[in-house]
Amino acid sequence: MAEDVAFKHIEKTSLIGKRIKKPDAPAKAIGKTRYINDMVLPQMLYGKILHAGRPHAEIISIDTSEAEKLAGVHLVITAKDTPDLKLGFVKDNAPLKSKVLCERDEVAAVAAESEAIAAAAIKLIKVSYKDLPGVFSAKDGLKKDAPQIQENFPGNKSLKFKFKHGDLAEAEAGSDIILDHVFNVHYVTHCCMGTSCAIADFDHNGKLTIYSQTQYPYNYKMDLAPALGIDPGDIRVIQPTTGGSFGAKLDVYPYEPVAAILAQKTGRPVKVLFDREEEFINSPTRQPAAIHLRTGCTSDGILTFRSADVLMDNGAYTSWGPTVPVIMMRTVSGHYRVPVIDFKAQAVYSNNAYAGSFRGYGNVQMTYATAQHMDMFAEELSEKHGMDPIEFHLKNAQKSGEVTPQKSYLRECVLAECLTTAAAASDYVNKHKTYTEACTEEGRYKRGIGLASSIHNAGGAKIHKSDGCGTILKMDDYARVTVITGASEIGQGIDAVISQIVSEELGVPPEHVTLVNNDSDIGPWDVGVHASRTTFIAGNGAKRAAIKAKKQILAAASKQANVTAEELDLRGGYVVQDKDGAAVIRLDRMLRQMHFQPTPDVVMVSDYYEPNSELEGKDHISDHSAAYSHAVHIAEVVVDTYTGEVKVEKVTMAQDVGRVINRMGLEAQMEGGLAFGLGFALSEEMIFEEGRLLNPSFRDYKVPTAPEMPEIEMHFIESDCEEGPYGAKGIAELPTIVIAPAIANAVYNATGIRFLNPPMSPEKVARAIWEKKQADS
Amino acid sequence: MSSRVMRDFDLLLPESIEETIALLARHKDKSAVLAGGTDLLVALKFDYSIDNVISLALVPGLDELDFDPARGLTIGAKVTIADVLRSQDVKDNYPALWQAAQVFATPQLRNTATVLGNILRASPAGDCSAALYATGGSLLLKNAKGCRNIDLDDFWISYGVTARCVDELAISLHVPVPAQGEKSAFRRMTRTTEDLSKINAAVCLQMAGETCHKARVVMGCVGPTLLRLPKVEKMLAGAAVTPELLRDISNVVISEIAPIDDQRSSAEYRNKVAGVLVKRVIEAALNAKENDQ
Repeated sequence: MAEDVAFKHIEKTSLIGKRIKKPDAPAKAIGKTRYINDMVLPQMLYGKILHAGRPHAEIISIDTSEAEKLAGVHLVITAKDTPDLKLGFVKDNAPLKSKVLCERDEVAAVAAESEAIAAAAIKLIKVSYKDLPGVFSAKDGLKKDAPQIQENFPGNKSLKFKFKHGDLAEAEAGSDIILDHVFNVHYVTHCCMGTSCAIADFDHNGKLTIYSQTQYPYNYKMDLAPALGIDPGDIRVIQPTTGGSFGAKLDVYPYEPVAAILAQKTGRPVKVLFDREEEFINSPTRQPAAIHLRTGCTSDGILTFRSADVLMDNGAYTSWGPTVPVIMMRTVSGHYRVPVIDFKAQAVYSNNAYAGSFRGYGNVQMTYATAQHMDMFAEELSEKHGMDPIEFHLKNAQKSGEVTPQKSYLRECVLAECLTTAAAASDYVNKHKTYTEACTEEGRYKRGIGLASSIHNAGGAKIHKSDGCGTILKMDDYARVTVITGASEIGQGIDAVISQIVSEELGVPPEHVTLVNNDSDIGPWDVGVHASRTTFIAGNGAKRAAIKAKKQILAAASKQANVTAEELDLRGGYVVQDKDGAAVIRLDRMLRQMHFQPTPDVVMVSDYYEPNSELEGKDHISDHSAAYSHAVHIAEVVVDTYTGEVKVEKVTMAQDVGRVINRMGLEAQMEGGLAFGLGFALSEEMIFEEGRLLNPSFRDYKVPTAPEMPEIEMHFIESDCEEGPYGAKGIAELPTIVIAPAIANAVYNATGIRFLNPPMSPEKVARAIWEKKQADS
Repeated sequence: MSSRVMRDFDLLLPESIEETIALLARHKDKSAVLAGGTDLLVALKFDYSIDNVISLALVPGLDELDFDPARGLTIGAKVTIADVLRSQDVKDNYPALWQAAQVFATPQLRNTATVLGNILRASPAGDCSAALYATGGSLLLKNAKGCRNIDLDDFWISYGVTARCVDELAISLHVPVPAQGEKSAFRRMTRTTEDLSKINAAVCLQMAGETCHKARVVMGCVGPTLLRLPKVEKMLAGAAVTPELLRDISNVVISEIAPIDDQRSSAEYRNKVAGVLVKRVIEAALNAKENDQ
């Protein structure tokens, strides 16, 4: 036995559930990170796009001659230079436009030696427009005499969704209480700190390298290729560090092919980078919707049916926004046990901005409605029948093993535990009663407490043929591990989680694990960062790859130690005896011995993990995620009835996380997710007037800042998901989904007023309070 | 259509007040003076017709922040909001100004932005400007011909427009010694904490016991410039400040203001909360709880 292992014993410990530092955090905190926005390539030109700045118009003529004459300008392109190139979910979009359908429409683009020259050149392009009457709401788009927006979509009808289950008429007849409301959910946007950027570079063989912020590099190639007229195989996607995404980069948007076309035609790398105003106007939004929700309930507090009719403003083009009903309907059919479902959604083209995917993906909108209906029932049942509000929720909460009408199989379901934990921790029932009684008393400040919950997919969502992720793992002679994963890092923390999982299996420190995941020519396939899936899917992949590597090492070590591989383990950088932790050999020595022998045995393994979920079909009946999860938020607010200001003082959250992996990353996701929902609930709103955005700046579009953040008490419920890595479930979207209706319910508790149309701005709240006062007196 | 690339300009770095004034005389309205730059650098991105930026960075004699119990407070052109916030003299003698500085933007901006810059910007939302309008003060302006003092009461003409001539450099602001029994306060409402005001108010009251001898009451974001509320001032003058008086004042405020709808709020909302805010700022001055925002 080698000297350095004599008498050495290493206890079995686990990193799972511990706090692991995000490897990129220190550099980001001190400003040393190089983002794509900072990148400069040799010979690089700067691209700039001329946006229409008007909602609906014919383009009569474009004169680019003055711009072309400007010193330093290499190229000016218009739609004439890019015929027949199509883009978008239903190929209704194009890199450059020959007709204007919305404010952001890309009319021309310039490549120049500097940003300043490109900006000056844009101003020299003369476009003559003939303005056309526009459509500025989904309702108006459906009118018989409405202008036609997209040629191929008569009546302005875009995507349509439907799901029915059970006999609605019978369920209505069997209901004692039927609630019927329209919730109007507004426009908000992602506000990534790093504005949109792409750098395109063609080599002499016609292969494109695109430096991109995309969060789905592999399918991105397929979506980008038709917009360039090249083969997807001729695209290499490199993902430098990105300053946030949150769903905004889950599609190809016109600036990306525009950068590539400029690069193709000039033979030089071209960078397109938005300034903040461009970012506000030309980025996707959250899908706005008018949700007509009807819900039935018996006097015993049993839900009887839910019917939702959703009308969505599609905007001028179809990105991911109008596909959100796929998730909305899972909420309608799965948020508590509801036996009868009737769901319809219709998207209608307009001359407004168009929506993309955004953290919470339709569920932020739908839960704002369903969770308020749950609260309305609880209020009425408590008032008329003396039912405890938590009891009402518990009566309808699903249990493990239940299946929803859409066939979501809730294998491990701890909604009841989330409800009781959050309610007990916040003293919900007592406070709710006290504040209800105080609601009608005189006084300026009113306190309120509100509960909301929701369900979300927590094991990916199989909306593509594969929801999988590839992993390649290698170890070098020094026991350092490199993991090449298909999963992108867009700030969400997969870098820390994969290091932690691999470290757990291989007994090396997390900082000895290097992640390579920013180059589509190197990485294996992954469907992308979305649907709260990365820890679940890529984490499983990394774990399976690491287990393969471990088996290989222990098999080799077993020969040397004269024991079976099952009797060995990897801990603290050593091969050890599993039973007592006695060290057998240092891991790096073992790896070298394996390597430098007549028949080399080098650790290089791979894995492709495909979750056991079912493809989302046209009938929407499938177990489309490998796991589902619930969260409950209880918000405590103070409303200044003189000014309408709502202050959220405390939020108690209980969430089914399956199993905590990186506690620090998990807490950060809870806080960040909550901030998104808080802005949506109280202060964020894109204000449009006839298709034009009136507040394209942080001066006028208000995201919450640190002082607005409430005290947050987190309870992680560990349901131990059988399919998830170590039992973990996906967690990142629920905190954004649940907080807004919790606040709305708390404001109701304080004021007796329901807010069906967020945001609950002081202006809106104050007006409602004044109107109520007048009506009461 | 947007292109927010800052235009080219010449950065001029004079080393004395005289040199600065000479540059202003030469470049007149084609120039802008850079002290903190927190407003100017943003403005320069919006096709501002400025070819020359005259920086005060190297000009000595403009960073005086001095309080003399006999003469009052002097604030030099380069004095930042953070300087004001650090001054115990300001905190003790001019609470309205100190409170406005305390909630002004963010620490980073407070370290750069200047008090005089806030005044010269002539925004109806200016927080320090509102406080100083309430306490009263006069600006010392200088050009090649000489110096003149102009009262803040006469300085703001309309949105973004002041009585400063294009060749004049603002040297300093003088705020008088607080009168016997003077109490002042500043309050505002915003959308998020580190934000521009959607409505703000400042008062300066000369109190003798329960009775108010003289009052200056100022509101912001309710007209093209900061406004004084003469009816409210008259109601306060010579009166005992009772809850009934405050209620009456609260009802009168709406007749003195003319707010508009904009991205930050609505006219309806500002009209409704203005009375609440004025009542609150008067109470704050009388109760003198500086940190109770």
